[in-house]
Amino acid sequence: MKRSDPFPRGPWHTRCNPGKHRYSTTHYVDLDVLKLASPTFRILPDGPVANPVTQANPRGDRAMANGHAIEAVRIGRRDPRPGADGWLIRGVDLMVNPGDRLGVLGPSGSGKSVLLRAVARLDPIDEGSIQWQGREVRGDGVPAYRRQVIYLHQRPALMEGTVEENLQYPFTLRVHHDRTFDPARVEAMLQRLGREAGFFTKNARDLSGGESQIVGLVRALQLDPFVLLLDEPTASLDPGATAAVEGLLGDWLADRPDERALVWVSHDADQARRMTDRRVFLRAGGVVSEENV
Amino acid sequence: MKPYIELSYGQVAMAAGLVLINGAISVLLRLDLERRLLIAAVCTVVQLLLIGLVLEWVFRVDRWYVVLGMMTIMTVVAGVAATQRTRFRYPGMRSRSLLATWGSSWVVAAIALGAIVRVRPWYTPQYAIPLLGMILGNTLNGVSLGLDRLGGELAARRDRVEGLLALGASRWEAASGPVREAVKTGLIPTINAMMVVGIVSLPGMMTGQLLAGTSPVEAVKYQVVIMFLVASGTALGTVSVVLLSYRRLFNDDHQFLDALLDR
Repeated sequence: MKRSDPFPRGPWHTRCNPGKHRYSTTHYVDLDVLKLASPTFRILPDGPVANPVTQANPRGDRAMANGHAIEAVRIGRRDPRPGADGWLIRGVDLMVNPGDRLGVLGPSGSGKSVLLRAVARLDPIDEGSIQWQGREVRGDGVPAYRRQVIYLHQRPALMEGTVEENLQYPFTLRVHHDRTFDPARVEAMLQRLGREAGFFTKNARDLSGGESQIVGLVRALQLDPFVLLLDEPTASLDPGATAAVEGLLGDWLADRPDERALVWVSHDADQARRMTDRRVFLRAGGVVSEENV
Repeated sequence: MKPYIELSYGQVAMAAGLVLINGAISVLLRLDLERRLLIAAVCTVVQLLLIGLVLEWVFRVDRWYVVLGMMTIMTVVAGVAATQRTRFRYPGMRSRSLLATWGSSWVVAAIALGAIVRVRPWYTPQYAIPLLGMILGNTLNGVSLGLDRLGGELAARRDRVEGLLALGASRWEAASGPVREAVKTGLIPTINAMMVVGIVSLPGMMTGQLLAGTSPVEAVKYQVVIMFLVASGTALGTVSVVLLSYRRLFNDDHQFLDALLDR
């Protein structure tokens, strides 16, 4: 079966709308709108809920014209367990644009991971839509989308084998076939995160939780995604390693702000302040407020 | 004169009396198995007598629809039984097990009756029922083992499967490991049986034919045919049920619906 890649490489704007550089303005338009959002907390009632952003900014052609990179509109996901009733998240909007450093905050169980997983199209949604560059993401387009938008689990699952084998593994997948593993690049990243040369040959079984997070992060970064969806990426790291990860991700974004974006789930308010300029607060599965810096 | 000794009910009762040996052991060693032993003994006698009566009738009537009805009942029982002891289940598992068991065993039985043994008419119960029964008995095991292993593997490797999907793996790339393991697990018992048949074990059917006075070489020919029928039926059934389950648990959007897997 032949499959064309719906997401060719290259700067986004040249692909979405050749000749136009729109993202710088897009970003500030959104910020103005967000200031109107009510910061009051609200428990999610039954039935679809209007999101503050949507209320202030009814979705129409404007959003499409601006061409958000990821545009998740009013998405909802039910509790999928057989016999379970109720929504894990509902009526949530999430727009991600190049250069974004977006934080997703909220108490445990508020649906932060559910939201990120839904945006990565790892879980089905029961309401709403998720678009990538103006196109619905579905079917065989999903693996291609996940090549660009990588969700990083809080406890990344590693394969049996060494760290190096784990880092090489993604290149065996069809979606990454056009690329090859670059040990030097990976080694540089690992070094920056304080790992010695011997780290490469370590067995994945023997890694600590923090080391696994580092391998997971490097494994994703080497694939050059456009958007990283980070689910508490420093939860198991000591302060030194946390700072190193923040620095690496900051530089990664600063390297190509016209292409890349970060969405960061964090429990740590200080970290959220350091690493994000736009923040979404979730409670009981709905967005309760947003803020911009 | 018949080539074998017909048994009277008195002779059968004598054999049944041997259960007293088991009873005595249970009492002497205080195994507390007497009740269960009694129930098991009654089950053996009653179930076999009943099926004997039913088969007598089916053989006597000798109509295609009666044979087909009998085959259908056997198949449904096998398909449902295959899902009884799996550690994990998901909505729709029973119908998929039924479909896989049905499809695979009937295809193989059709080849056996129509092309290999060339039974005329095809529904002659003397052939159709035992042949299908042996295929079903083994297919049931393969289906059951395959389902159990697939559920177990996917549950144990949930994070890895998801991790692969998150990195851009297609659903097949993410699931092929567990799928392969599951199919393998379903096939191993048949392969093992094929390797030791005749040395460690004398299959029931061959023994039966020998008792009925068939020459050993003739009995062996039948047994060889049966072994291959069983092997192909099991393989088809296992692969079908595992792939049907895979399609149920991974949707077209390359998402792993792990919440459907229920312990």
